[in-house]
Amino acid sequence: MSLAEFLSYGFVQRSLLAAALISASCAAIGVFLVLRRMSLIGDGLAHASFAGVALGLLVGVNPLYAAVPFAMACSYGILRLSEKAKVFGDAAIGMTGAAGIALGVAVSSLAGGFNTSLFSYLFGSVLAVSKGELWLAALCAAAVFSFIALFYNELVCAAFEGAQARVLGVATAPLNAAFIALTAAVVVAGLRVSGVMLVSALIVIPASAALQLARGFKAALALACSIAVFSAVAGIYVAFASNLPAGAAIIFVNLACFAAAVLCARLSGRRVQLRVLHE
Amino acid sequence: MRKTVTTVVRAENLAVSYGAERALDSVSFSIRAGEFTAVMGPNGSGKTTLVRTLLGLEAPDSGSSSLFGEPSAEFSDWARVGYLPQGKGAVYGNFPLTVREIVAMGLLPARKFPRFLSAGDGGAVRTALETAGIAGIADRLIGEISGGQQQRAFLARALINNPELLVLDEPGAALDPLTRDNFYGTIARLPAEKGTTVILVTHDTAEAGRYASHMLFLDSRVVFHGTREDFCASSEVEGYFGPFAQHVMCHRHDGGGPCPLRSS
Repeated sequence: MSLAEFLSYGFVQRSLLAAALISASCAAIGVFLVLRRMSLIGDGLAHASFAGVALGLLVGVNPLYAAVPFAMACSYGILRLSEKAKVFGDAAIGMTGAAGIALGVAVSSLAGGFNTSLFSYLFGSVLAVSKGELWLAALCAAAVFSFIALFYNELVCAAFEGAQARVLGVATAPLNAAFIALTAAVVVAGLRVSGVMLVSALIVIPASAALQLARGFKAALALACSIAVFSAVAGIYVAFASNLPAGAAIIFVNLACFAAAVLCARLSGRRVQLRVLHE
Repeated sequence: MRKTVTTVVRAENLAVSYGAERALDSVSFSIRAGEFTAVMGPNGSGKTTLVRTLLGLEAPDSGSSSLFGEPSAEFSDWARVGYLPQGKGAVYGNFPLTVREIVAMGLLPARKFPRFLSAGDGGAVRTALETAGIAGIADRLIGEISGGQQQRAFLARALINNPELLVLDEPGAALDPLTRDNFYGTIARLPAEKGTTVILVTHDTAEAGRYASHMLFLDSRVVFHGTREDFCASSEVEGYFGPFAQHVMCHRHDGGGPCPLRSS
């Protein structure tokens, strides 16, 4: 199939746009999360949102719309568990994710009859993105990139310094809460692309690939987003041409990009730099 | 408008515990503007806990502390404070921040929302880099330079706003002797030249004795707090730390006079 023919389908255009928007958002958030050793929060929130998806299907609401507030509440729960109950962050993520999966399984078992729909959220179905879901993806991307643009320096400080960023004038607690809530919304929007099981890969892999090559934070963000968008578009094309699941194909391309980044970093020892402050 | 206060740091009956372990117990003292105070004490005596509590990074179990007359937990005028925390000089691996970007972070406390940095900030960053002697490595990644160079990058960041209070938590650990001399030399000039108040947490008795005007000895409680001269005349300190530490601190190697212990 030619590229022109591929791009001529309306549902392909919608899926490409949604996947690019979500992948770029996940990658940008991923750079901060990976550097803060919080990569697994995407996994935990995706698992937690599974319960929201099941509840949405049960009550007849678009599952993604039902899962957004649910995942945001879970993100708040993770923060409270790690800050107030003095539970380690990874343990808090593990518990919250397990609770979401357990609740989702219980709800789907009690309700019965929507196993096929649930399956599409477990493994993604980007080629079936609706106009409403495309708008959700666009809204999430706008929120993520506006937030990063407005709070870029605070986010970099918090990633580098942790709680000590307070001494650099950063209000770390509200900043972290807002960032994790935004992560929850993006993870839910990403369920259509890669599903509960794979959406965290959209957060971790492009960011990890960019960090192999980037020299400077802005370069890392730009590279991660570029890798993510390329992987989304190429993954959907590969999926369409070879009848593979799109979510899995996107992850395969991301992994190939990561391998290429590691190889480039090893062979050349050169890193990509964007100038931050000019002399 | 900033309030003019002569007491820069105050602690009143501070108590901090980690489980059953009491890190600070009834700690009270105050530090006035322009003083260079060396905070010393054995491992686990609460030195780092003290500075973190003073900066509002730890919440005390009881007691209170203030910075420039404001409770530490509510203090927000961070452009007046430079902080070099313990453990800086660690390995940062792939963290994609250049030395220049890290030093520029120090400008943020003086900015209002949105806290953007501009091309015009390059001059301030360059001056801070030159002061710390690291202008030549400005575009290197933080994970690519040595622990000593990292330490100087964090010092440049702490100094970029010309802070009224400079808090340094064991800054000399990763520095070679020559770099350490230059580092402390830069710090030691600040109280006289700019009226900066300096709090230096250190195990290095020779450096503390050489540069500090005041000593604060901790062992969960305040064992001694006073001027270097009072410290050198104190028999309590000798009983607590032994004569060697007191000798090293009181015998200045810069022509500051004979050791009081020897002359007595």
